[in-house]
Amino acid sequence: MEIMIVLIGFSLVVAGGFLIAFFWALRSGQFDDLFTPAMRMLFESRRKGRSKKTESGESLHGNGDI
Amino acid sequence: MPSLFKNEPADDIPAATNPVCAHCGDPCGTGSPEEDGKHFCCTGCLTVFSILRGSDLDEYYAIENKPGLKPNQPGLGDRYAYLDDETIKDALLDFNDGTRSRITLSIPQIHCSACIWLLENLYSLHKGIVSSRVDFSRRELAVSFAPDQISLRKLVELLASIGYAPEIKKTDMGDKRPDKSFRRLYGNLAVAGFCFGNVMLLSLPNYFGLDWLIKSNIGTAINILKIALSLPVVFYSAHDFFSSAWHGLRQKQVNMDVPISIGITILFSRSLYEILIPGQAGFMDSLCALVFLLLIGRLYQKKTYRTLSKKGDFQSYLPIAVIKKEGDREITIPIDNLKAGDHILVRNQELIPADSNLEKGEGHIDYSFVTGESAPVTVSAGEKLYAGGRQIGAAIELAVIKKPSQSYLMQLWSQTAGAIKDQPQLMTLATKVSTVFTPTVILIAIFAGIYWLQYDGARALDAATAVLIVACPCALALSTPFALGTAHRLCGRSDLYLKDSNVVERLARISRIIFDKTGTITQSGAEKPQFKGNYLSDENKRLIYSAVRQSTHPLSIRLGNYLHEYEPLPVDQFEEVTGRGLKAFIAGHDILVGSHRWVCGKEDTEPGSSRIYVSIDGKTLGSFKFANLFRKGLRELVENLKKLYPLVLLTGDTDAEKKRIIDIFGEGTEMRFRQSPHDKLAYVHDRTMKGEQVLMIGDGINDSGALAAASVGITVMESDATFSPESDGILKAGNFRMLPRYIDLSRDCLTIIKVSFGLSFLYNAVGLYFAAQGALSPIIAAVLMPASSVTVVLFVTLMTFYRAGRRGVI
Repeated sequence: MEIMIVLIGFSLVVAGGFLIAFFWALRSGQFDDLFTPAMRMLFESRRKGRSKKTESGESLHGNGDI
Repeated sequence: MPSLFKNEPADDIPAATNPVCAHCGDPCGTGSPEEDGKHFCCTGCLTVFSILRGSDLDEYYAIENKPGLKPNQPGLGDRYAYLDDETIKDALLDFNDGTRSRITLSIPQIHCSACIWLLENLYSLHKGIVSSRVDFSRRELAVSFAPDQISLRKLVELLASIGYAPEIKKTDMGDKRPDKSFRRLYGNLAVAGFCFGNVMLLSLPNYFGLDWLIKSNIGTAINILKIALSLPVVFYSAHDFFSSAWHGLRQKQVNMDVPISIGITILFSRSLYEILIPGQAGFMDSLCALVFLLLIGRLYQKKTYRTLSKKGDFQSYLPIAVIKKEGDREITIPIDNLKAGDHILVRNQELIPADSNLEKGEGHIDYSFVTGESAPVTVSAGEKLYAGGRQIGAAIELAVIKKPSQSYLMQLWSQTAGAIKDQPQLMTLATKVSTVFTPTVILIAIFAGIYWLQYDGARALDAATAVLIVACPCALALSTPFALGTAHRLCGRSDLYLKDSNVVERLARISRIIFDKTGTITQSGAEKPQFKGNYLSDENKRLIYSAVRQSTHPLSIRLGNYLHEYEPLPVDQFEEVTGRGLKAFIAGHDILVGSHRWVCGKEDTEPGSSRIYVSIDGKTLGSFKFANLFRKGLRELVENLKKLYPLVLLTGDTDAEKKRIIDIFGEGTEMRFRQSPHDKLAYVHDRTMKGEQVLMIGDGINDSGALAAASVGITVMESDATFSPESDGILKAGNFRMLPRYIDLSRDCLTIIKVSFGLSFLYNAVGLYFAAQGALSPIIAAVLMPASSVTVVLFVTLMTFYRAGRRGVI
């Protein structure tokens, strides 16, 4: 049964990874505006081949948020 | 700005025969521009259309039906010249490193998905724009641009040219770090949830009584993990409870976070002791559950309407920059650099920034901001002007007497701010309960300890701490945010937007209601004059408009506002006789506008009515009539509210309409006429200092002081695009008659909270029964805490929904 300790530790590491991922998303501003993206996706396909925004890698809200 | 008369063609133009503008959807007049078979109501709209099509952006018109905004008619000129000033630029930009700049602009006109699409494709319009992003709920646009290719001024002018003129206020300058408290709360909640889930899992052996497992090495490892997982909960997630409790205590208030903090501390230290010394299970699972649930409550309560959270203090009404005259040169300087003795230029529709003397030109100053009276005052050279007035008409030249910060208006407002700060704060119901509850629980804990000391010394500490743990008011602390939060959301759903959920409680406890008159109980802006007479052709309307826009008489201005869509013609002769009317000679026509006597030469058959008669080339065409229309359902609303609260009417107007008002409000209602904004504020302040809770209902800038000083200030608004002063809530004018229902709901809500308090006391009593005997097992605590909280939350939420349905709010 000692293997349980390893398993618990492993599961905590996996869950912790998701927690860290959440914090990364939070800090990069993904939770700042929950309304506009829902409208934005409606016309995402409208100007194909001109998505200059993603090319530049420029961020408006801080760390890597595009 | 969207026109007030959008989709409402003028009375006598048959709508069907006229095409609507392909850009903004307004009806097109005769002779309006046309291109490619598309009609436009004005050259402005056509220009925007061409700009967009030239940049391959005409997809804009496919996303929504006629989404366009009318650009400002007159040329921009040097309206945005101040944006070239380095100090102003630096203060406005979020970020600037010479090659790349970033700015967040407030654009209240953003109204549909096409707006988002267009504004996020700005880079197609100018290569200097790197990227742009819209925050729809804040009506904000964040733009990244290369300042060596497009200056800030050019950027703003570009936006203005396509109808999205940003609102740049003085308060935008300087530090404007975005509100990050949401992120913090989400982070707290995520950590608490993560630890709660894991600690609960690790506690399963205890729940099932698996002694062999608990006593093995695994059990020890589990215990260490539990401690490790509860540390971030106590020191990170629960941090806000501790700081709020400490803050409250320093202000000599025992708020709800005090017993919560005590509970968390006792839970943690006792569990730590139990796990480390006797090797028992501890209460770490209950601890994590408690913090997690309480944070959910916080999150629920935190929802605010973002447009309301903007700071709207007095400074934001002042211009950012002024035009200073130096010899013959005109230079733009930031308002903070304005000194006494400077000569400045104030153009049409601009605010006077500082107390000054009129040097050149004729002033027609609208002091409605200061006095509440909107009829302009005529001032001639040499006379004194006060800051806050708005010039209507040709540009005037002023000599500044005092710096803007020392102006009469500014002093008035700083007094106001001081007075509001001194007002007693209303203690919330939860705090009131906690003030009694906390010492009681501590006393019970002490008694339980003393009692057990006599029989079994070892159990004394057990019993005392168990009492404090059980009494930790989780259910008590959750019922308020959920009841108020639900009511807050339901009000928002039916167009009463309250600043935060605490306003619901304050609304329930008001003892007096004060109404403003114009724009609040009467319909403002949309007042369409009724025309009585023969058919009025477009050409005639244009002539009338050209004539009345020369005049500053309030009725002329109102008629001018109504006819503003017509292009004015040059005026050859103009004469105005005060109290009678005006006479103009335009494009070969003689035009008379004014009283019956002025136009028709004999006394009015209908004296007392504020009709404006018009005649062109000696032929009387008819008359316009403006009437203050009371809002629909006002009588019923007054009947309902009069039974519960004393009502008061404060208005800046004269008592000309007193009779009509008495007819609705009844004889006994207190009414005060000719009230300046400061008088209104003083009245509210005075009542509040006497211990009353005042609900102020107003609409305009002249009510802003009273709205801020009142316990609850609600602004009535015709559309969400218009300006609103700082207040606790915004009520859509169409739902004005529902006001009593909202108040009823807020009162119900308070009753529901009281009942839920009873319910949670019951749970506490059950827990205390176990605790005082020193028999509180971890499993009882782990079940009792979430069970009581969840049932209380369900109870208050469902009850609030039910009452809202009964009251007709939803």
